[in-house]
Amino acid sequence: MPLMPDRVKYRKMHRGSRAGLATRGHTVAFGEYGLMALERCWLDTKQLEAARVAIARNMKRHGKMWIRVFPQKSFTKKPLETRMGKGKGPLESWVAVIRPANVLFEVDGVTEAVARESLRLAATKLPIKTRFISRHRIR
Amino acid sequence: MKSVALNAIPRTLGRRAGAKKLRSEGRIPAVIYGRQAQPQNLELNSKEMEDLIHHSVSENLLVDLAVRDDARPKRLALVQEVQHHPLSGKVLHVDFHEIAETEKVTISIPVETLGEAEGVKTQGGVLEHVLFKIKVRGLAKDIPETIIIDVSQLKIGEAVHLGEIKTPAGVEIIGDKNIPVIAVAAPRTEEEEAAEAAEAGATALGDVEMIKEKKEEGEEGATPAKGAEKGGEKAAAKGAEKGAPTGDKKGAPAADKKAATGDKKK
Repeated sequence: MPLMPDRVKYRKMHRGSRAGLATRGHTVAFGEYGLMALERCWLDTKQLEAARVAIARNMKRHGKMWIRVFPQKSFTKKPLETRMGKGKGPLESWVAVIRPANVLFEVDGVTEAVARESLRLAATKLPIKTRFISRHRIR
Repeated sequence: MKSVALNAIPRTLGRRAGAKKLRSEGRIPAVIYGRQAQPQNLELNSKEMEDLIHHSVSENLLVDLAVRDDARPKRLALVQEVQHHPLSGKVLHVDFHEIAETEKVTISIPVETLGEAEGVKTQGGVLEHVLFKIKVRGLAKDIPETIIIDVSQLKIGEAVHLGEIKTPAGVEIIGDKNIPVIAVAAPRTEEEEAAEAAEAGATALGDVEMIKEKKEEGEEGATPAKGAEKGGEKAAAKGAEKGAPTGDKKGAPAADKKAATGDKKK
């Protein structure tokens, strides 16, 4: 099941604002190690899924993983070679609004070396700069 | 928990601008409060405070605070809260809770594991930290910095509960004794992973149920089956309407163009 909401009140949304830093979800809450976003972006379901698969493959069924962001927001796109007007375009994808300091993934139950490599591989699937963070190492 | 010495200066700069100015000069705004005295605004040397935090296991610190020009030479205080910048992690503000040596305090201390669990080592299980911090009550000097739990005997399906943890004399653990703190869970099987992967491609992006549509269906017909049929018809009609014009629009200009270029060539 791709990451997207089960039920929504309205299918098409406004674009909203991505300003500021993350004031929530900026600490490692469930696992031992995490991947923190250093830039702002919209992460879509495909990117999140690619990163999740990269982590799962590298951890080889050891340890546990948490995805700390969820694509709550839909975005639309007009088809190519379409004239302007005639309403908002069809749904293109679902995205998570990412602000700097958001923790994207967390892992636990593996050594630091494995966690670091897994999250590095996940970071290569994302369009933003990220940082490896740890619960124990107080920043 | 041993107390460490820390120097502080009474603070006159207040509010947002004052705090920003302090931070730019390498100092940190802080506050001390407790039962014995009125709250007092303080400022600390940021390097001194960050070194202190960096060299400790957790942010639970017991400090002997020497405030300049204060009647008492040293004030025993617990670090109640440390505010960090979300991105850089720099210390923004510190709360000190002044306590008496004979006063019992309640604080959360981190849990650490010792050894590798048998279930993880031999059976391929996953060590799960259910609780990362435990609430304890006692005299500040008696409370340890961390609680270390030996997990080497744990097998798959076993757990260490709150009631099984041994604490130093005079320190009691607060909370339900049946709550697991650390557990070893069974690993995920290949079949589970394969099933998840198969599900991933099953749903299309547009298949999201709308709360509003559902409500309308409920209002329209008393029988849910009838409503569902109507909804389905509506959706199908809508989809057909949407699909047709876009297809025509896409196809038509391209065909026209091709025809035009073909004519020209001829």
